[in-house]
Amino acid sequence: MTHWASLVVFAILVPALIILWGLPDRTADAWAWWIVPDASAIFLGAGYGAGAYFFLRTFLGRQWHPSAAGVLGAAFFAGLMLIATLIHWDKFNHGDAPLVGALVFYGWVGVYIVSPFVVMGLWCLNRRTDSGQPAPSEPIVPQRARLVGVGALAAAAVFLLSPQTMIDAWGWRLTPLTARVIGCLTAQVAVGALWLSVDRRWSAWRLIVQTYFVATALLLVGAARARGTTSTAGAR
Amino acid sequence: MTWLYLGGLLAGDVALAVLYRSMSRQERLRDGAV
Repeated sequence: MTHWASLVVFAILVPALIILWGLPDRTADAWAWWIVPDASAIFLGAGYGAGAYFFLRTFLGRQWHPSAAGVLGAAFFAGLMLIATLIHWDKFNHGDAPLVGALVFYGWVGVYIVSPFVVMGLWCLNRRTDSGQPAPSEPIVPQRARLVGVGALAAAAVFLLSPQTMIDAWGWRLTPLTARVIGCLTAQVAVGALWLSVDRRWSAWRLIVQTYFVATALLLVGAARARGTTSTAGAR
Repeated sequence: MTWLYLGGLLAGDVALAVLYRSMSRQERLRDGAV
């Protein structure tokens, strides 16, 4: 079940990557809300791109535990995104958009109503299958490497609980909704990292580390592309 | 703040790259490839 669910999530995330990261100036017509400036769309698109990589590898993988931390992080991400959607409901297009934008809106609502519970349910079901014990002679992650995530949790808390603080300090124009979306992505990293902080197995870390590399690569390339595109007209 | 955030991401990249290299080397040693 997790196998095929991962493929479904991958299939959902790829169009999000294409629209947000690849065509960030088209969100007025092709996304659930108009995201301005491009940098904010690229930021979210980078997160979805890394998620697509993670869920494709989870689909292709044969063991559960390499994906456990990422699936837990995704469940928290989806739950926080549902809350952000409800808080900022008036910022969405409500289907009043060209076909793609309307489809994305209805897809967004459906995905974030269902996915927090389904993904968390999959994590709970699969957790029982993992003994948590390292295989013989498996590399063990050193203690000092387990601190990743504490800083991310603190940053996520500020984004989510006091978005105006980040809006005032950020390098490009954020809105309360885009600030909270960045907070959701940051919280996802924090939750995954904190879960890994109690797992010594390198096999539990490897895919998550690779996914982090994909996310930061997309983010940095995207940030370079977005330089100078700081228009704020119509920002939501 | 943006630069602090992006700097934190990059610092994480470097730390994780070092970890990845170290763990991969241990795996190769275990498998007798080194």
